[in-house]
Amino acid sequence: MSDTTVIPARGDVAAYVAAVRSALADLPVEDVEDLTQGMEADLTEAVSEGSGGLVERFGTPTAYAAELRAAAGLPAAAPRRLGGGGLRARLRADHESWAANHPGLAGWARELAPLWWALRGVLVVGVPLRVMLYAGMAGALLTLGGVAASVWLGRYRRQHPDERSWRSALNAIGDVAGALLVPVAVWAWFFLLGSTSGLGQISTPPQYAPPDDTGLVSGTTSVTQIYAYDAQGRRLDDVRLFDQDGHPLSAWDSTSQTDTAVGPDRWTDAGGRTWTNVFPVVDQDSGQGWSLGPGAAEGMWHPPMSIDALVRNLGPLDPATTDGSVTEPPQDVQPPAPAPTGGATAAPTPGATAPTTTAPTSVPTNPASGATSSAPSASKG
Amino acid sequence: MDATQLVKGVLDLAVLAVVADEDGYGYDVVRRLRAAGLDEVGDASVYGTLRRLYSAGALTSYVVPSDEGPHRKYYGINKQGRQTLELQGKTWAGFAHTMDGLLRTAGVTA
Repeated sequence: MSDTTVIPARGDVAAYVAAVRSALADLPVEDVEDLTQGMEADLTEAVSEGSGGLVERFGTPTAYAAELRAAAGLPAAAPRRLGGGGLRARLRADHESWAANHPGLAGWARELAPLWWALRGVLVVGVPLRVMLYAGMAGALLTLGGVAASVWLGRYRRQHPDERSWRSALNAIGDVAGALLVPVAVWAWFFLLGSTSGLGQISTPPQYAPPDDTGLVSGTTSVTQIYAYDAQGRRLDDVRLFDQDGHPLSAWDSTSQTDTAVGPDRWTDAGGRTWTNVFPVVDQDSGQGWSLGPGAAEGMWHPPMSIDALVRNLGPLDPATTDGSVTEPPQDVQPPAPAPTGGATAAPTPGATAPTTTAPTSVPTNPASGATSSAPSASKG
Repeated sequence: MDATQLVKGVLDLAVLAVVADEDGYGYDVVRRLRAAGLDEVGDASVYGTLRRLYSAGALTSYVVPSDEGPHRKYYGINKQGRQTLELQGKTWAGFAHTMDGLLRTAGVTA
């Protein structure tokens, strides 16, 4: 910004003069006029002769105004009153003062203003349309119309900066509405369009699945029948199966079965409770689970009468179960009752008639002759 | 003490002198002051001084319309202004003479 070859544009000079005027706003109009009349021309002339920016050569508008006052013998600026000049004039003065103090940024803002006009047109027209779930060609055309109107308003406002009419009011409303809608649009972009039910899309309601009766699935194939055999290979009838949570397994899929298909025969036990996890599922026509009824489809598997018996692998498995294993695990050879060391070494006295099969007690090794008499063993005899 | 302080003290006199030489508008007066050697003078100070002198009745002003550019407000000197100019000019001359004497005594040459 302190490039000495930069020549301030005419707009910058105008902004500077306006800022100085606003700093003198509390003075009588004729005083301000006396001080600033021809200032624009003078500044332009001074600038065209020399080099450097406005602020570099003349100081900030506020400082310039203060110097004017002091040199002119006028009182210093009183603190800004809120009511002075109305909100619009104050906003204008603030903006122009800022623009004069930041000519580089102000130039950027000026160049990017058309982009803002287009964006606010999209927001002001497009967001309400989306909110009403209105999309399609008509919506796009309306949005384009909004963009055109916004750009036209912005350009008009720039060409007639002092006019106060419905156009300037509409322009201001567009600015405010567009600014308010920017966070709304950002929120909608990130939070609504990212979900499956975004704006403009009809969200499909989730399928209502009745609990329990959806059948069994093994991998990707649905299971409609379970044939069970025990370890000896014998068929098992009316087997009840439960899952890991204790829920009864049910192969009945209410969404796909029809009345004519094989369905589960619901059993009731002595207590009156109904079971659906009884396998194999009984054919309604034949009344049996193991025969395939007339409705059986081609290619269905015919369960054999029996299958090979299971042989449990020998290994560090707990043999405590008695589920009918054919071959008993080899009995652990019971080690013979260890001969009591004391008794073995001690010579068996003739008087010792106690059977050695009783639980041997530890007998203190005494001299054989007097062993039994003084032995405190209670088991003897 | 830099030159700006000095100029502020005699800016009225300088402006009166310039305008007395020839009528001029704001920036014209600034230019002539600078050309005469008063580089430190600020534009705003000159404009403000012109206004004050005009308010005090020492200067006249008139607007010269222009076709291609903005209208220029020209200042000219009047009788009262000339009297002020002469009076202040004599004051200044005496002051400068006194200062010169003091400086000579101290061995400082101009």
